This record gives sequence, structure tokens and C-alpha cells, in this order.
Amino acid sequence: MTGRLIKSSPSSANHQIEETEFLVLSGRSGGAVVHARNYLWDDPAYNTVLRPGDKATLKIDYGISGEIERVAIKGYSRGRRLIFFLAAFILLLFAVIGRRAASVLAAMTFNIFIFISAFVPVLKSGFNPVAAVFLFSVISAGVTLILITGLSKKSAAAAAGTAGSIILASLLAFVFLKAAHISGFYSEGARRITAMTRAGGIAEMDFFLLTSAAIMLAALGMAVDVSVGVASFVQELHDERSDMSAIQLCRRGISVGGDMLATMINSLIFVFAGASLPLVLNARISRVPFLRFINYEVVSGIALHSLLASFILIFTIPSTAAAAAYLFAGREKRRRP
Amino acid sequence: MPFEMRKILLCVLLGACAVFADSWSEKPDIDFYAHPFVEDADDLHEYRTGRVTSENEEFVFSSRGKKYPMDSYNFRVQLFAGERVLCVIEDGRAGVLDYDRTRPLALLIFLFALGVIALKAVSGARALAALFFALLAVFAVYVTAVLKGAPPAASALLLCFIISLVTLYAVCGKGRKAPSALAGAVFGIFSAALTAYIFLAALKTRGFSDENIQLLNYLSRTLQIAPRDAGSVFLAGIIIAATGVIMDVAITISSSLSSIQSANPAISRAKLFRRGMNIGGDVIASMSGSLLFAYAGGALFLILSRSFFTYSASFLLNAEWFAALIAGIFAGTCGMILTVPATAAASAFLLTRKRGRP
Repeated sequence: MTGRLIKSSPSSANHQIEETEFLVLSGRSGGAVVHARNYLWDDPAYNTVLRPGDKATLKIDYGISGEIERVAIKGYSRGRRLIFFLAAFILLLFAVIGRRAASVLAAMTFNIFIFISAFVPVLKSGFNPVAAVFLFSVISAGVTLILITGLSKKSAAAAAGTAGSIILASLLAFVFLKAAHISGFYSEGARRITAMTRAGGIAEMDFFLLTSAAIMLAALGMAVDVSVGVASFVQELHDERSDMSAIQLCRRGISVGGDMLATMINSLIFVFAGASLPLVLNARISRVPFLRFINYEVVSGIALHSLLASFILIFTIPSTAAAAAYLFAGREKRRRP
Repeated sequence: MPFEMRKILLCVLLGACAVFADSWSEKPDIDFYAHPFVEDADDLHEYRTGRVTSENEEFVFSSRGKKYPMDSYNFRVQLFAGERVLCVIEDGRAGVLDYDRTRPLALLIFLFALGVIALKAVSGARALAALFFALLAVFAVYVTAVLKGAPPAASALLLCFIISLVTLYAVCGKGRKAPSALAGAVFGIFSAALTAYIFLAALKTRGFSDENIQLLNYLSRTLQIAPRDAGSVFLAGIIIAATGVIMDVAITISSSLSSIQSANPAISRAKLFRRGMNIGGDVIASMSGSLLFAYAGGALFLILSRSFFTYSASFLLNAEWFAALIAGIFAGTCGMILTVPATAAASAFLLTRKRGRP
């Protein structure tokens, strides 16, 4: 629930706690004035700094008979601004790619919806994560391809190219994660899940399988993307020069795909490099020697994650180029002589 | 022991931070939690990888022809004869720390290089060289500069410009592809950085839901070491992460356009631009979804663990971790979208201009 701060006053001698009063703006207790304590810490980075008139997110616990039992400040209010940025994003998308933005947004909404309402609850119920991610990718890739590229030769080629590479690369992932003793327990968030499991209420999770699922999930989108890129190029080239043979088209497709791959490697590894920047800085500050650093499960886990995801891309390019060339020019070529 | 005290204090602080990153409803209980780097981070000892063997029912660590008796207890490692482990050598004894993961990692890197070169011999090798340069630039040069006091976000922007210059010229060669891709990429990186900055400032998010940012904040304050502003390191991370995607889109468009132009040299400037926007539209269409997957896959554990503390949609939309996750996706996607018209325009202009000359 969102609340607006009415007044705040320091209550303890060292100004570590602020006694605050909020006007609740939304939810069950809308309109009520509630009291909450704002704990301030020595490190200002963790504090929610509020002045009268500011909004904050409140967590209100109710007693059995419905009375307000406790109010906690959960941080700044961000929801409305987040929605504003979402609107700006939609406008930008429409400005650059025109009417196609509608289908892109539909696909994104669908993906987010089944991710939140189906995929995450299924994982939390203790279902095998690899099977869950496989089902999820079949549904989402199918819907994405149909919504964005339509039921065409192009999407058929992209689907064929993606499917094979995902299966090959997940076998590779299984072998290498086992060989490197990646348990998944040191991923950020894993300890919190363990704590929740121990506290009861949720099913035990297999972190190793969850790690494999995370790799497949990270690479799935990229694989579809590369294959659509290659298939799209082959189609454009075929439109421009319809006299090209399937083999020429395939070779050109692999060539452009190779160019894409050349930066795609960078693209993927940069996502992981950017995410692990604080980790590396921490290691340098703590003076962790390189041999120790690289053998941490977190560190080698991130490296393996990025490499295994890249393998999906490597496998995707030739298979999609061949499939697209065959679909666009293969049959005509066969008929001609 | 002051160092031990520091570790314990750090554990307590991180325990608190790990549970609630935003604010506290009450003083948290002491929750013992330690980041892996805190436990045995130390450059005074000798670290070695080697094989565990069993002699007279005792484990022995053999590394580079030498044998050491072992202290075999570590909660991370289950010792078996034949296992490769990492040990710290102290007074002639080997204390086991962790598994040796360098070999599978090296083998996978080798296979990866082989695969790239098999697919695209010359430019694949060039791309690998560019990647090596980029990683060196980020993790050796840039990190050192930040530790010496360079502003993290501003120097990340400069770093990404340099990396895209080197990478695009390495991948495209001397032709007309590189300058147009570079123009698009520089524009994209700049707009991604700007978008991320505005987003983070407007949503009062500084990445403190990330446990490594928390540790960085703690370490830099306690040890009086740069970077003092962990929030700007978070912004730098977002800029670096977005760079790859932007370079990728820029190169796809400029490479496709130059290929189409060489297949049909008579194509007009406007038509070339339209073809570029067409291809760019396809790339955006699939890429915006796939970026979502890439970030969701990278943060799957985080999302799962946070979902236990998410009581309603309003909690999700207001949570700091969610804003931090969206910041990366939002900046990357916006940068990528803006790269498309920039690259298409630059390509159309450069390709048709040069054609008229000879």
C-alpha cells in the first residue's frame, strides 16, 4: 500500500529511529492515518529518507479481527514512475518500428504473464526445473514466433534452427556443470530459498537443475533472435536477387550469421561482465589471488553460464541458414533443371 | 583479533542486508551469512591446484610433483581420491578450499574458440581477439582505474566507446560497414547510459538490493578504498551490459545493408534506409523479448527467492530489487531500439555516398 508522510519526529536520543505518521492512500485502509517507525542506519545507503509530503510503500499487518496490528515502511514508492517509464518505452517502440510494435508488445506481455503466473509458481511447487523451462520455452517461443514473424517460411526456419541447438547445448551444459562441480548453492538468492525451505512451507528445490534451467532460459531468447536475424536476411536477399541458388543463399546466410555471432559473443559475455563487475571489484579490493578467484563456484559458474549460452548461438547459425536457404530456394532449384 | 572481528561484523551486516534491502520493519535478528569472498580472501598464502590421492587411508595432495599431507575438512568439498582440488599451502600442509574448476573451464573455452573459428575462420579469430581485448580492458584496465579513483560511470561510458571502436573495426574490417556501425553503436551506448541514469534517479534505486553492491559499499567504506559510490558502479555495470547488445544490433544492420548494397549496387539511399529499418524492426522484435529472457535467466535464483517476499503486485512494482532488474532491461532495450535508426541512417548515407565517387 502507498502512504503519504504527514509528520516525522526523531524518537531516540541518537536519531536512529523516526516516529512517523502516514496517510494511507490505497488499499484496504485507504484514508486512515497510521503510525510507523522508520529505522535509520549508520550507513545512509540503506535508509529510506522521507520528508513530509513524500510517498512511501507501507506493509500493513492486520490482526484477527481486522484491526491494524503493525505498519512497516518498505521503502520508496516506485510503482507510478515505473508505469510512466513503461509508457515511454511503448511510445519509443511504436516510433521506431511502427505498427509491428503491437505484436512485439503482445508477445512480451504474454511472456511476462506466463513467466509470473505459471513458470515461477511451477518452480516453487518443486517441479523438475529443466522440464519446466523446456515446456515454458516451447510455449513462449512458439507464441513469440507466430506473433512476430507470422506463420511463414521464415518462422519455420527459425524454429527448426533454434530447437536443435537448444537440445545440443543443454546436453553440453549438463556435462560441464557436473565436471566443474557447480551445485548452484552459491548463486545470489539460493541461500534465501534454502532458508525458506528450512522454515517449511515450500518444496525442496534441486539447485543443480535450476542452474541448468537458468542457462537454457538465458540463451533461449538469444537463440530465437539469432535465427530470426539469419532467416530474415536470407529472405531479404532472396527478394532482392531471386536467381541465387540455395547453396549461395546458405553461404551468405552463414556469413552474415558469422558476423552476427562475432558480436553476439561480445553481447552475451558483456551482459555477464556487466553483472559481475561488482563481484570483480570486491575480489580486487579483498586482494583475492587469481587462482582462488577463478575457482569460486560463483565465478566459474558465471563464466560457464556465459560460455554455455554462447554455444547455443554457435549451433543455431548453420542450422538456421541451411533451413532458411532450403525453404526459400531449395525446392525451386530442384524443379528448375 | 581485529581481522576476525571485522569478518564477524561484516557477516552480521550482510545478514541484515540480505533479508531486507529497502528498509527494516524492526531491528533484524542476527542472521549469520557470509559472502564467499569474506571467508578465505587473503593474498599472503600460496594457492595451488592439484590432485587428491589416498595413501595409507590418509588423503595426500599432490601438486607439481610435490606431495603434501592434507587437512581434509571443508564444508564445500567432498574429498575422494582422484578429485582435483584447490588448496592453500601453509607450513608444508595443504588445506583444502574448493574444487579445482580451471580444467573444465579451460576445456570449454577451447571448444568455444574452436566452434567460433570453425564457423567463421578469419573474422571469428578477429572477434575472439576483440573479445579478449574487451575483457582485458574491463577487468584489468577499467577495474584498476576505478580502484585508483576514476569515476565509475563516466569512465565506463568512455570504456564502452573504445571497446566498440576496437570490436567493430576488428569484426568488420576496413570496409564501409565499420564506420556506420560505430556511429550507430556510439549513439546507442550514450542513450542507454542516459536512460539508465534517468531511470535510476527517478526510481531512487542504487542497486543496493544486489549483495555484491552491498559488499562493495561495505568494503569501500571500511577500507577507505575507491570506489566510494557503489551506486555508480551499479550504473557502470548496466552500461557495460548494454554495450554488447547495442554493438550486436549495429553490426547486424550495417552488415546486412552492405551485403544488400553489394548484391544490388543500383539501390537508392531511401530504399536502403527502409530495408535497414525493416531488418532492424525484425531484430528489435525478437531481441526485446530475448533480452527479457537473458536477464530473467541470469536472475532466475534472485527472482525465485524474492518471490517468497512479494505479497502483491504493488509490492513487486515498488520493490527496489525489481526496479534494479528492470533498469538493466530498460536501458539495454531503449539503447538497442535507438541504435536501429541511427545505424540505418549512417549506413544508407555512407554506402550510397561512396558509390557515386569512382
